[in-house]
Amino acid sequence: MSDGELLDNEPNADSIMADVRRGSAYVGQVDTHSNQRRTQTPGWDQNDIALLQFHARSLNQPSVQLEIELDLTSTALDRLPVIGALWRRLRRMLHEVSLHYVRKVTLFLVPMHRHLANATILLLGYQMRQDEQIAALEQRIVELESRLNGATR
Amino acid sequence: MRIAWILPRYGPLVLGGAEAHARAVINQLVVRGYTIEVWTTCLRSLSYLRNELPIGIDRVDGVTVRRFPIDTNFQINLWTDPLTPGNQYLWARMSPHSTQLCDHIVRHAAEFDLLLFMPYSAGTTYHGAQLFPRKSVIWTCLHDEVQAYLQPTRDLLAGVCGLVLNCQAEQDFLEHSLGIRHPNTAIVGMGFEMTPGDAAAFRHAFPNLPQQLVTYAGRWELGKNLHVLIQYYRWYQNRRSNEQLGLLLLGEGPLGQHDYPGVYKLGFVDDATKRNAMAASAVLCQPSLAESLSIVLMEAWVQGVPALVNERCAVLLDHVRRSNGGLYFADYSDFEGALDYLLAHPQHAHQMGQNGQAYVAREYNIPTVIGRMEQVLHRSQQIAGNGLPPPRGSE
Repeated sequence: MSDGELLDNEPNADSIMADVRRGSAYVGQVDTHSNQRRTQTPGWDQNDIALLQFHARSLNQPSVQLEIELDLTSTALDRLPVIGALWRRLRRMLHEVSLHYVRKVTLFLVPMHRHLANATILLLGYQMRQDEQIAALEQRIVELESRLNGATR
Repeated sequence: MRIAWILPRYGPLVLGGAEAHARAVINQLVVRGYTIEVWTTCLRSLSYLRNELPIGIDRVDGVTVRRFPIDTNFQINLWTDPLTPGNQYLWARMSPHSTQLCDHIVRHAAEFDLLLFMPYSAGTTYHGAQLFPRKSVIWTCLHDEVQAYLQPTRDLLAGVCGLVLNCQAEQDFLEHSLGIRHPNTAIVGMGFEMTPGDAAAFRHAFPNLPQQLVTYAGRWELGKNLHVLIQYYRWYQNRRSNEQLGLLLLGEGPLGQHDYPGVYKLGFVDDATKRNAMAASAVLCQPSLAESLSIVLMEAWVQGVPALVNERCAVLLDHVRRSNGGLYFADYSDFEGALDYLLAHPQHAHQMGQNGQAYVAREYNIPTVIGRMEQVLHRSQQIAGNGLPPPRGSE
């Protein structure tokens, strides 16, 4: 067999995928219910979607700011006279430096999160409209089938 | 011929396509008498830009490796900031690189016939290849991604002595999407040993795994689209409830922190275990969009395993269509249908695996690949040695 030449019975990726996309590759292998509504997002229930919407909207609120406050724990050294106060002050300064960089990173991430949140909200809207259209089309199919059955009788 | 091979990461602990690729080709060229030194940084992972490996000289497979500390100084976010020309150049300049590595190139480039950089997207390539463009060859490993279209990338690729590519789809992307027709371009790829794996040994070592495995191998990162595969697999199991089926993940990375039912994480495994795992798999799934060759796809085909790849990656689709070694998906609906087909038609699936194996043996056998590599190296050496100006190929 030369390169690229296929035997008659040899599987061909493009023709199999064309069958898969027409839905005919399933016939007789899965239950009929699974073949219905294949374009609807599978595996997601209403709770998942509501939670995702909540998170996306929360992220997208302009008022959302990440406030990170210093919370120094007490150590044995803190209780020493004079040295304890100095030690605590030094620790506070060092932690303030870390916080400064954490806040910088946060400021960097917030616009990116808003961007993702916007995209998610948009996609969820598309999905909801798509599901409504699918439901309407399925209803229309049922009506047309019943009319067809009536006509053939 | 003396070659300095420059890339951001190198070594046995480094997980990455370009890096594994470099190591295989370097070892094959050294056997043929080439003198090669690897100049790299102390990075181990691209997810965590940290100097994890020791600075200084190391030996990997008998090859001298010099590691320099990485500078991390990102100031521009490619995904959120506007892509003005100024930002594009600033982003390219700020991409992770090593000032000490650049200094080493300046001091020692004259001792080598060629400087070979890979991949195109690395800061080490952007900064290093501009120092001596007349003797610099870039092994591009191009992907269809934002970074490839930036003006600094186009300037870089058009201005060097030669370009090495992995497959025809990559050349099509270079010429038709980026508009770069470089006169010294060669499709080389990577050579693979046709070593069979031992499925029975793998089953013996991991007896608790399900009977049928969909396997993913590579970095566990968003960039490799692994999250899409996991989500698709969960949806698939929600609808099919196939207890005989499992998703096997080989590799490591940030996405490995969560556990999902039916998803088995083996982590970073040695080459023999990887071969055995592939041989024991029903399907190799490659969901990535950013591939310039896909070593794991070839490794699965070497084991005669059919593939299920992302149609939106031109390279993967081209491999599958040319080999007829698997199926492809663009969305969940395709994924479900294609996986159903492969599991329900074992004879066809087996035939597809065999087709893939024949494709690798024909296109990516070691003598052919090394022959193509030697041709481009000698042609580049002539261009560099004659002091010709760097070819101008950008349209």
